[in-house]
Amino acid sequence: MGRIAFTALAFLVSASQADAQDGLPALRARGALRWGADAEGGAPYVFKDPRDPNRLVGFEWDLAALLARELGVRAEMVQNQWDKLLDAVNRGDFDVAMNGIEVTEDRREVVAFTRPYYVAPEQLVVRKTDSHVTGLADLAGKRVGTLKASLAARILRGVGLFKEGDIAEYEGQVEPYQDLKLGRLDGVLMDYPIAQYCARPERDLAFAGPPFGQAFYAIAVRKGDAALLSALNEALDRLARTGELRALYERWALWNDATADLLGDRAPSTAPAPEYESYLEAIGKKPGLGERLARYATFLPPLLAGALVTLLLSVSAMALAVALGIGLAVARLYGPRALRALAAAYVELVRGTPLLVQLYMIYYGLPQAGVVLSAPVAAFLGLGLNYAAYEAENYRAGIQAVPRGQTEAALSLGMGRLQALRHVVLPQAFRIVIPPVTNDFISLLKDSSIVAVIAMVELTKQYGMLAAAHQDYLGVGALAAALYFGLGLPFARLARWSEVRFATDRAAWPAAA
Amino acid sequence: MGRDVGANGAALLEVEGLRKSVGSQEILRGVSFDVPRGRLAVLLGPSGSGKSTLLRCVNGLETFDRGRVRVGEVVVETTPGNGAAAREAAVREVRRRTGMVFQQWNLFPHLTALGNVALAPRVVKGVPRAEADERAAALLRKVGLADKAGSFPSQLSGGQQQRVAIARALAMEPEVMLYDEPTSALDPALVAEVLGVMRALKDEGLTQVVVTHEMRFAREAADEVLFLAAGELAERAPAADFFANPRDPRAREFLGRAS
Ligand SMILES: Nc1ncnc2c1ncn2[C@@H]1O[C@H](COP(=O)(O)OP(=O)(O)OP(=O)(O)O)[C@@H](O)[C@H]1O
Ligand SMILES: [Mg+2]
Repeated sequence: MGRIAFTALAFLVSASQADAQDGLPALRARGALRWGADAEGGAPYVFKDPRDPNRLVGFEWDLAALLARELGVRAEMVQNQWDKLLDAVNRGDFDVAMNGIEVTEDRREVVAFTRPYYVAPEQLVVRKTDSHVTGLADLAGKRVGTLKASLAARILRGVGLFKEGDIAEYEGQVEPYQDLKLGRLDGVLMDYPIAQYCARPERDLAFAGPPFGQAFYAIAVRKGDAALLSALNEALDRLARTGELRALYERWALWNDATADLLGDRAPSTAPAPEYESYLEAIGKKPGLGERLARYATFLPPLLAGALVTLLLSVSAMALAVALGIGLAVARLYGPRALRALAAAYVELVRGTPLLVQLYMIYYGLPQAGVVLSAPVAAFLGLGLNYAAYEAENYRAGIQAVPRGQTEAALSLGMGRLQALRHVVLPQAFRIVIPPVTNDFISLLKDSSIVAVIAMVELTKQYGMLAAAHQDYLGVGALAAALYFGLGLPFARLARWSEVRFATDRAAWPAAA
Repeated sequence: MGRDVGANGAALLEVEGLRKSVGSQEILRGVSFDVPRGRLAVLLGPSGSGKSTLLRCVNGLETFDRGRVRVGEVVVETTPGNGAAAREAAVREVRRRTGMVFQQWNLFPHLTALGNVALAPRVVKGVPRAEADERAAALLRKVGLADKAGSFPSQLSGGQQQRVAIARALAMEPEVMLYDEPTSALDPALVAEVLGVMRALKDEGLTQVVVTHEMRFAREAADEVLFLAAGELAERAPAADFFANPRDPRAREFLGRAS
């Protein structure tokens, strides 16, 4: 088990090392602009190409390529949970964050922003059957949905038409429209690009009235990274002047009056929008069964890659949990008083606090103390240290279930306490704890999906990204579920086998001595 | 009182003034006796008189409040000034020289009969595995279980398990064997095979202390009887004398009920 853990750890460490170096010179030396975004967010920002799930596309993907070209380097996207993009840029996980991030006063406290590259108005969307609705006032007292912590959310709060409980804030941009179609909401207010890509193609949904308000999208950089900030501003200026920025937005059907004002280019737009057309075509086709299966086949490589990360992470974290758990259990049962108290405190503290909080503290909290761990290492430590507390309790129970007479027999043969523990008690305790430890491992496989919050792209994250790109939560979900089940099955089998294997010598254990 | 003495002029096992209380209850109230080398002493007494506690104190599985235990030249005592570490070392040395056999066998269920016998020599004495296994096989042969070396405890009868337990204790080459009701948990039909092994060991000259309720065995095999009552050594006599003419009234009552 130890060796597997080590190999897996080595793999995880080499898989991604946090790059803590700052600044423009470092970026140039590396030859790459590393930019953070979340592909699960969906179209049109950065998303999995509906035609090819192994490729990412989006207007920000294209913009990053243009900016990188201006800086004389290549663009390299780093996947990161959306609501943690600013923390990650401050951790040094990438140079900039660019993913529909709206400039707000709160965010200005933690990062520096470039000049805005896009202005997004807010678009109200309702069900097509509610054609009488032309503005927010027509929805007074109804239930409305939007994205968490967005300009739209502030507008919905500010107009005084809705009770606090009737404003539903979502993490993802696809779900509000789903709920609108299902009648769980009566209106959705979100940034225009989202409405254009996620609502416009929907037959049952309609735009209600013209867009209004202005959300300024800008690129976030670390405070104090002045050289990079001004280089990016100059690049944006150049792209605006040459018309390349406008052409980009037109290709994606995102050009609007507010952005025209921002870029100082009021000429009416008649240009075609090939990227948008191709997107509509890709998602518009209602595929037949054969086509659908063929499409699912193309989902397999990314899902399998995610499953591999899930498996490696779970196995290595479990190895850590088991090793540390035995140590904690032994310390708690046989250690000197201070050690016993320490082990007990660890177990109670870890079991009494949410895993999510522990992960955030390790990943985003430790950097404040100067310790910057890469995502895989943080995930491995977070899960392993957390599960160690539960394993410790398993082993404690297992050790206590071994009759006292066993230790006495070992001691009477001249063994020391540790020898008795190692050669007589622990081997028996191991057999007792096989079932609960296997159960824990299978829970860990599933719990490991939580590490998506610290930028790990494992099975659930891959599922989320694919499902968002194709608006197919059921089919892709079934695939992901089957993979989880397939990952856990061999271990459940192994546990059953080993229980039977060791049953012969368990039958005659004295009930109590 | 005439004392048998060992080869070195003193008894091999000596217990002196042993006292132990748990809470306010006095379990042992100053017990003294000795057992010369090569003798078999039987420890008798009513239930709750402290027989098990006495054996466990000798073997260091329980601590005592007062007194001393000596095996050969190794002494465990409770006089002040005797540090805990030194005491612990002495206890381990005593355990190395004494073998203990329990009423419930306490075989290691995860090891075969051979594994049970070979474990302690390997772990404690560092005997290489091949040599330990070879000696374990010889000991199993000696207790009549040559063909059961590969069996797990759960696959053996009670009598066979108890014989494995004796072989396991013998593997450490003890000078004294202590038995706490070795046949009480056995079917009557299986008792004889275990007692037979103990008789054979006596013939080889091994020193043994046996707590038992098998009066016939005590009468036939014991050199000496130690009779314990309410934590005190009420009577100590050669076996023949004890059974023919018990002096202590409690011993008379005990024998009356037992026969
Ligand atoms: N750990 C303990 N805590 C409290 N009392 C104990 C403990 N161990 C033994 N005793 C008590 O000490 C006395 C002697 O017990 P012990 O087991 O030594 O008797 P015994 O002579 O072996 O009895 P038996 O023939 O039933 O085995 C009993 O009264 C018992 O209840
Ligand atoms: Mg007893």
